[in-house]
Amino acid sequence: MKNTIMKDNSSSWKKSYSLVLLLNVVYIVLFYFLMQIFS
Amino acid sequence: MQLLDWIILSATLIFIVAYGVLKTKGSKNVEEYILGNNETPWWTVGLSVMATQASAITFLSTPGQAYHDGMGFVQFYFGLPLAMVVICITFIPIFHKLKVYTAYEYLEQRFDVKTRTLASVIFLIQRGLGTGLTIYAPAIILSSLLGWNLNLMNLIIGLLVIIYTVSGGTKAVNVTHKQQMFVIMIGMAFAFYMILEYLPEDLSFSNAMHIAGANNKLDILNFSFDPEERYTVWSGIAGGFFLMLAYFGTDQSQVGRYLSGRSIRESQMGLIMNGFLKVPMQFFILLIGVMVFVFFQFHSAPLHFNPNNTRIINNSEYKPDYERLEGHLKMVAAEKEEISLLYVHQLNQDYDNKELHNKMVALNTREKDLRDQAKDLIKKADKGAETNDKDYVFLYFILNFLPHGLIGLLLAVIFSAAMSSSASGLNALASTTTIDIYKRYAKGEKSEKHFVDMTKLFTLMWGIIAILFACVGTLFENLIQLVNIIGSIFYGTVLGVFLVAFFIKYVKAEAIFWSALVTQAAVIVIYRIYVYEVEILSYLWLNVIGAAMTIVLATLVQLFIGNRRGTESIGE
Repeated sequence: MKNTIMKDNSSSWKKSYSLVLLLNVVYIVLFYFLMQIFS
Repeated sequence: MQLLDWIILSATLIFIVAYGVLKTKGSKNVEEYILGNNETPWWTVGLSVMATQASAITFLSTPGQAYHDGMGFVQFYFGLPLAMVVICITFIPIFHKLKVYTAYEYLEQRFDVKTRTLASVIFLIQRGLGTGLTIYAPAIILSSLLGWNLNLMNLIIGLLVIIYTVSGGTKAVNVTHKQQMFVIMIGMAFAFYMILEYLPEDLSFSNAMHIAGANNKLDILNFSFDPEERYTVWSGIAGGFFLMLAYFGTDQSQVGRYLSGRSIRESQMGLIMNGFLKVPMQFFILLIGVMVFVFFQFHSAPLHFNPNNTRIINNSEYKPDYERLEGHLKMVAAEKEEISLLYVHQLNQDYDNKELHNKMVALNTREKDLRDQAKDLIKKADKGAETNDKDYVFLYFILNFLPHGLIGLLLAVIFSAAMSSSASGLNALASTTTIDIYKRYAKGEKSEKHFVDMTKLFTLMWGIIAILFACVGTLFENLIQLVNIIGSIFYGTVLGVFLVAFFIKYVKAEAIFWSALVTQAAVIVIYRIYVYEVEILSYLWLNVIGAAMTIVLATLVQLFIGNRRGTESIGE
């Protein structure tokens, strides 16, 4: 078997992947502010 | 429990089981039974992936965890979105391209049959235990609080799952996941709404958060580098990433969900949906636990939430001491309610009274101290008793404070969650047993129908094993953590095998097989010494250690074998 990793290079998918990671960074930043506000 | 609760609970469960059976019966071949004919749309893949991960333990234990320790547990999921992206880019295209039924099938194509069998057997052991636990965990809690027979509960949950999983295979598991997630989300949203309704009239949500924050329940992020700290941002991102990569990338109960997707794109979209929703969903469940904590600032809570332990103490010589503690708690609760109301009243006038704030915190510390003393008494009365009562907090609240009808709905939530993860577990155990063990080693030509029948038989067999395991299980420190600990012990090695398969072409079959075997033994020893006995390492790091050790060892062994063979060939 040829062990080739099929990379998904379409730009719309790169955007989706970046968006999901970015959104989760936003979640963490929100948690940080939530802690600061209510602690 | 009143008639209305029984009607809602039974109608929900009967509908889900009947829908699963009627919608999906009559699979003619293995592809239809195990891969659902690759007809699953992306949103069903997404819901199915989420429903598989969200067991009853998630909904019972997580709010209790937040009630006692705050919301730090959400950090555990920080590595998940990155894991989803990595799986979408690497694992899914390969699995789909090779048209595999199980993840382990790929390992034979990349390495050899013994590596495939090793990974399958590791999966069967850990998922076999895990599925028994997903049945046992809610059964023990429900039976304790409702007085139902534990073994009967195990049997009911197990049988309900077996009925539709045997009948419709992967399709049935996927379609029922949609209903189960719907019931879960509706139930939890209602519970959250009702908790807010039951808070004092002049207590706004913002002020409720202030009370939670004052008592350290909103310490969501922990940036400590101390390896003994179980949940930190770093252990969540690194350890969580490896655990989620292993769970979603190599555990057939999850791989089976997205392998049934219509196309590579639909499978990827399902996982990305999970990446978007998982952290907010866990945050929401933890927030419910925090709101239960705020609720108990204005209502008295029991000294200990596990009724089994209070029964033990009431039948022991320590009963008077326990009653004395209960008396103290009553006084603390009354004072706490008074101070909290006053504090809220002043918050409403935009005045954060530091004196009241400190008094409230001190009273909660006193309450915690009384609870710890109660636990010591329970331990004295019965050395073997499990004193951690986190898993009982939320259900105690449901049964004692929510209106009838909603109690039935929330019990349906717990049953649905138990069924959703057990169904995926049984489906994956049966698929792996059939494809990676039975079909791989069976001699002679056999029909498609034979393999479908055998997969059904294996589903039934694993269902019975899971029920039996649930019937002999014992309660550990915290059920949700136990499931994750079992996962962490085994996942790292299997993940290491898959990462080598995908990324280090140079490593061949012999090197990976022996490296995986040695690593698995080493991880069990490390767990036993450093996590269980000495407690200087969080179990989350076991994934990282397992995966890293497999990769490094396999590379070194391959280097050694390669060099030796090279020398031999020169000698010849």
